[in-house]
Amino acid sequence: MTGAAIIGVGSSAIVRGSDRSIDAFALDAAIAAIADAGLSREDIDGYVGAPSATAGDAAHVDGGDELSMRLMASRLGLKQLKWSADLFWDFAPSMIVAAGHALASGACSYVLAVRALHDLKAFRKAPLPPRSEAFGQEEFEAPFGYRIGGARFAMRAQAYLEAAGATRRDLYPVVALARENARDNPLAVFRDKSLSEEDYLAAPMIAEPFGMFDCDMPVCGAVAFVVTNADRATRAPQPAAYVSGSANWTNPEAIFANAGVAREAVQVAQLYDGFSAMPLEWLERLGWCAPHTAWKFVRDGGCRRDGALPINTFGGSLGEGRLHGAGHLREAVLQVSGRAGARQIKNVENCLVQIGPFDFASLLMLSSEPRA
Amino acid sequence: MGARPTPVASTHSRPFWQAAAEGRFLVQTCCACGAASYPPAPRCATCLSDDFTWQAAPTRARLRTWTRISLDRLPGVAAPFVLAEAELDGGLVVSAILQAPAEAELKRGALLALRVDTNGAALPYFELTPA
Repeated sequence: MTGAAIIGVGSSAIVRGSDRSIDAFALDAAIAAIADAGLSREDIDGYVGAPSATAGDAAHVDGGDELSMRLMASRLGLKQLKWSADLFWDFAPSMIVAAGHALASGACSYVLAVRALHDLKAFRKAPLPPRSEAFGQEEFEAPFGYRIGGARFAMRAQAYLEAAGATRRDLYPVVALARENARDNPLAVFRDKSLSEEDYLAAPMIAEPFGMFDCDMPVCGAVAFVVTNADRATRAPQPAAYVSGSANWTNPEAIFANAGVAREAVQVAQLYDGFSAMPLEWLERLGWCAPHTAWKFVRDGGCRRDGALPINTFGGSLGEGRLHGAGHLREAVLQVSGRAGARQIKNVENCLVQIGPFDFASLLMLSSEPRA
Repeated sequence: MGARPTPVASTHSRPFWQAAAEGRFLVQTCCACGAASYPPAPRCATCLSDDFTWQAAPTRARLRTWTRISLDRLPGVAAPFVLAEAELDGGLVVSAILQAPAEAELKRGALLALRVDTNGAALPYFELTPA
């Protein structure tokens, strides 16, 4: 048993705006995760982060809207790191993949993985000034508003709806499902806020077909994980979530073969829903639904907790807030380790996590037992 | 309301912006394999050659998809405005603002014309071609 296992998970509060800084939230999550694993910070000898702020108007300031391993090690007093890495512009599942590789090499024994987000607009009480110049990848994007309000994803969603014979109204079931599942997630910013179809359709438009409720809510918050190898995991106080395999955007369909887990053996999936149309695309791309049919599958209840494939059982980003997949990963850990409380799906052996858009995603399969 | 973000040219994009300033949309075309790159790139992603020629783009395009952006966050452009992705004759895909009346019905396949604005920022844009 050389595979990686997640033995601890911790979350900060998730709030829509805060005067507390990003590292304050990250510390809350890290301290909780280390305690959950039954460890102390002296046991942590590895660190991995996915620190990039992804909003189109991000400032990319360490300790502002991003969090480097250097800052986090300093804040947490980690003095004996044998391995550390920050994954540039990558997502939470990739932290677990990288940690697993470091553990398998023998470089370290217990890796702390942290993903934190901060909403600087709320912190500053004002929007960030737009950049007057466009260079690098922004050179041919920013002058056209390519990333304003998720415009590039809105264009993709528009094409999907037109090809599927659907309309904006058919995105409502995705949002309604998120609100429904968020009810049982004490961390979720929309935990007590159901949304009628009428109110959904009446919300201000952002980038057609997306209205305000098709876009996840910017938040301040952090989630942390403790990763070790499967042998050590058996000594942890909580049931572990075992890593079966991974994949990325270049060949996402390989997740099932890489993990040795058939699609039919996946009981739950956590699919990135930064915008409401995204899970529809991934339900199809990963083979659960035929092309242009996932909107009907969700509409007809297929993704509810009692459906054929429950997704985003914690409310997703649309229900919990924009943690860029860290919440999805947390929920996957809790579901396969039987710790999801009121949200628990029965007999979860495998949970797939997919985070990121069509052209840049990270996938992970977590299982209740170590891979043979 | 400010000016559109100004592109800062690099070695491999400078010919594009120089032509744009004269109202022309040039396509970076690989001398080795003939593949077109947009946006311009340091090397051809098909064959990795860095030997390029620049060819005038077809101005006729078909709408692939679009979004109407309601957030007022692009300096120099009043919201709402339409961002379109269109396929030029020959297959090159370009995203740019589509100048269209608010009441215009936008459908995949609609005929567009690719233009370059020479009054302001020398940026490409699309306009609807009357049926």
